[in-house]
Amino acid sequence: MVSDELDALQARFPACETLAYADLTTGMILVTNSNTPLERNALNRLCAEASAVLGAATAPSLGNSAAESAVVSGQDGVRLFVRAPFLPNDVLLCVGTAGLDLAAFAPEAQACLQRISEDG
Amino acid sequence: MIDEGTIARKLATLGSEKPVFRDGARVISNGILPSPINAILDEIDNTILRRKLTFRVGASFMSFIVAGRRLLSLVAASDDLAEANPPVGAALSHEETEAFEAVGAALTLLVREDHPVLVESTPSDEGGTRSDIGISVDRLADLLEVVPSAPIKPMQIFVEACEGFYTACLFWSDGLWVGHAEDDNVLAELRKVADDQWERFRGAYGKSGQSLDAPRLFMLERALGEAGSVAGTWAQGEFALFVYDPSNLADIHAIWRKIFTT
Repeated sequence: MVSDELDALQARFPACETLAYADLTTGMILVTNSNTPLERNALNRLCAEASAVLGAATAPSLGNSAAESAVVSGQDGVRLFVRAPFLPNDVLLCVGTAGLDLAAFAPEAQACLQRISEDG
Repeated sequence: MIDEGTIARKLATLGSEKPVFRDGARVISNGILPSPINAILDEIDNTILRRKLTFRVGASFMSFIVAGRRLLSLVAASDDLAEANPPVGAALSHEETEAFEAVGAALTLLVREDHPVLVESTPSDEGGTRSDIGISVDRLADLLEVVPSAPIKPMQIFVEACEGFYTACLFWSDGLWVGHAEDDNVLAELRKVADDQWERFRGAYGKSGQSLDAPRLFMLERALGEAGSVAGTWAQGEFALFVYDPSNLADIHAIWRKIFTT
């Protein structure tokens, strides 16, 4: 199940507090990890943020290619948005604290999304 | 006469973002911005009523009684600052040259590493009276050769610190994009991003319910395909755009967080 995949990834990286599988076409969060601290409004805003940052697969927000992933960093922590390689509107939204080890986490998030996306 | 440095300090205080606390103490510098010594001077300068201010950098600390924007006495200092011979327990005065300079040397030692500076401010009846001469913040700034009104340019610091991690860079300065790159073709690609996409990107980001005022860093993996990834950042009305190799993501991200977050 998708939620099991998200929970397992979150258990390996506790500094990532929220993992959400979303569809950018509809702007909807489909599944989250079971202990996310974010409520519905915050999740909707997260999805809108990912949509603004990544842009549409055919109309990238920045650059001339659909970005494979995007990192957004600020005082409030770090967010990683990962696109599924073959279904570019399927994305994994990850919200972490400043302590999240991006170099270690990003490949695992990509692998997790690929498994979810292929199963779906 | 109103001193420009004083005005700059007040404006900086009024315009600062909401305070960040760590272990019960307020973070006044992330180790780079504002510069640790400036942050300490600002804190003293903003203390009118009698308080005990304890400045902490890692395990090192100095505790002063402060009132009327002056250091009245040094009540405690960590052992690692002993080599500066700080006058712990003594009433302070800029006329006591040896003690005055020892306080300056100890403060310099306190901020020798670019680590975050924290302050605890508590009421206190400990040593020093308001009638003591004390050491004014201006005297201390002169001793430490600090220019309180020196403009801080965090984006420029960031761009310079990232040199070696990007292949092309554009920096928004005085209404123009200024850029450099080893490969003119890559720079041309980045200019297209700056001219055609950057403002639209910022607009879309703002409409998504996010702040356009708080400093932000965006790193888009392979946004220029084989030419590389694109990073964009804003802070205090300044912008920078990079093209970088994906392997340098963690380095650029770490530098940005060091400069722009506490």
